Amino acid sequence: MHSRLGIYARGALWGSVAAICALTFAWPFLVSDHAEQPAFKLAAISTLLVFFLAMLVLLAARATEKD
Amino acid sequence: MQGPSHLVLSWCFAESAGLRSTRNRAIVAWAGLAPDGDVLAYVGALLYYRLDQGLAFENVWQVVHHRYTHGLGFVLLTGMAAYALAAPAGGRPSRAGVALLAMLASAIHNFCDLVGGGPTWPIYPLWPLSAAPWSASWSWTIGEWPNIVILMVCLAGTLLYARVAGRSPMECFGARADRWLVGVVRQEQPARQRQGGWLRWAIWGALILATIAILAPLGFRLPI
Repeated sequence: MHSRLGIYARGALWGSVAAICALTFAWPFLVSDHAEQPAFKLAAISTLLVFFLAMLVLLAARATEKD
Repeated sequence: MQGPSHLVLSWCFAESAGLRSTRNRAIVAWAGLAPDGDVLAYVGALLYYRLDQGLAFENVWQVVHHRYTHGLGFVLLTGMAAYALAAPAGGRPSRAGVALLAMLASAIHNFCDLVGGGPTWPIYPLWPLSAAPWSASWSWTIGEWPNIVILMVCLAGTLLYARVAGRSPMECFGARADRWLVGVVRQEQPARQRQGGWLRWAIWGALILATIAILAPLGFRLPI
């Protein structure tokens, strides 16, 4: 796999994991406890998509690696 | 989100994070499923109420589910258990890394249930410090198409990854189970299977039945 893509995917994975922790444990107490807000919905679903996509790219790279 | 989805996603998370040890990948995967361990309370309640689903649901499941295992307290507990169980070969930093990944897998489970657990099942992010619930009215219920699609992709991805990489989330059930799945999807025929091809058909049949058993209670119907 292109090494630059791997770096981006790794960054996206850890970035999305950080966002997941923030949206789950900090948002309702620091931002707003109304999850119906469009901002939260957008942030949550896009974070989930980025997490899945980053994992997909990294798994594709790992699948072809020799352990 | 369904249990199998949590398990497969957590294993994929461990794999994509670069964990090399089979045991450590399995620990992180089980840590990602662990919050749903409160289903044992429902099983206990079913036995207590002599298989009366209504009473067990109303008196136990409705009260217990998500409350004690979908929060920061349980995430920390998961990390401690993972640290104790992690393969010691890598030394202390490696065990701490496995514990951190296990805690993150548990946190990801909480987030997935926030987005795909349904609006009637809030999580309790800061329990036991705070009992404040956190849920979204737009959250997908367990039988809605996004959850079904995620489950299907997880199952198909497991088979594809086993074929390409020679390992899969079946590692969670032991090395033999993983070798078996890899052998099936790669169509490798061990000597004893050449004589008994019926065994392969029986296993595929059991797999199909298990898939139906997971989907049927969710109300999933084929669109034909």
